[in-house]
Amino acid sequence: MAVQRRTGRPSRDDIKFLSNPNIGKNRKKYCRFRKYGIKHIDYKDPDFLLQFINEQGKLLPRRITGNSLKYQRKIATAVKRARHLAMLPYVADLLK
Amino acid sequence: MRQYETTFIVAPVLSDGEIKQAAESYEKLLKKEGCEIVHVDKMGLKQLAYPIKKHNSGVYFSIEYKAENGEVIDKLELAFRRDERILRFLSVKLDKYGIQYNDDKRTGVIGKRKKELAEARAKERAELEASNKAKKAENRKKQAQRNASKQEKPTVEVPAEKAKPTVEVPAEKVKPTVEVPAEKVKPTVEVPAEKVKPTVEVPAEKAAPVETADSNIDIAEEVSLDMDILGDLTDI
Repeated sequence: MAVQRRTGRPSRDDIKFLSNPNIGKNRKKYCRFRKYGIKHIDYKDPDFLLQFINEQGKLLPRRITGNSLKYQRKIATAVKRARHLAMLPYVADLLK
Repeated sequence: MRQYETTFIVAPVLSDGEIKQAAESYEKLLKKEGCEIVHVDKMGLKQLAYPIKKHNSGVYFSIEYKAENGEVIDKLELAFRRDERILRFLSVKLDKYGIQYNDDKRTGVIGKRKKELAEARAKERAELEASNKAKKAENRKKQAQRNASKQEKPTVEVPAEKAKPTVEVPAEKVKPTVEVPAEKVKPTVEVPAEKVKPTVEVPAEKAAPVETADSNIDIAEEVSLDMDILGDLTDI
């Protein structure tokens, strides 16, 4: 709202989107490795692994990433290998 | 034959030649042990996520090789441990998907090359769009010029054309509706009257409520904000 205030009065079109219309919807999570047929997870690709850890460098749980158990395990080993090679931090703050 | 991959970090304090030498010495060791080297990936100097042996960056190498069994790795890792130039090392056995992944990465099906290709495509697209936009702009200019030459006459005619049909339409509607049963006639007669009037009134209607709504919301916001500030103040 503050942004809109600066730019001027909110018009009728803006008011329509003041509340996010997708807020109540529960989108189904899926395992991207199964969906796109990714078979191997590279531990030398920290940018990719960054998607599966939180700001502190901790592994995100399956209930958030939506990975299947098989690929969550592979992700975990890949992240641990990347940490050993100093491509990802063991402990961090404001990683993202 | 099993395929392995060993990644190791060489200290960056050495000169380029020494670093290369260090990497090559391990290649030679592997070859001496009867391994078939598939690929050596020089990943180059990278920032470390945390300091190792007081170094903040390191030169990464990744050697992919085929060996009969894992005994070679013992020897290799012993050499790594004895070498002060090596900061870290990691040996991994590749499964069939890993082998395929590395092959794909080398041929450019996935990974950096794909990204580069994608970037190149994106650039092409951007250029195309830019050229299209330029063309469109030119076309618009031309059209504008044409219109400018034409507009003087038609602008006078258009309102006259529009004005007439609007007047005629109700008349047309009234006539057919007269034939329809008497019940319908009345409303239909009123409809044109309604339609004619609103066209004049609508802008006024729309303009007025929108403004009021906005002003209300603004006031509400300001009030809520003020309340927040007050709340903060009281908290303090």
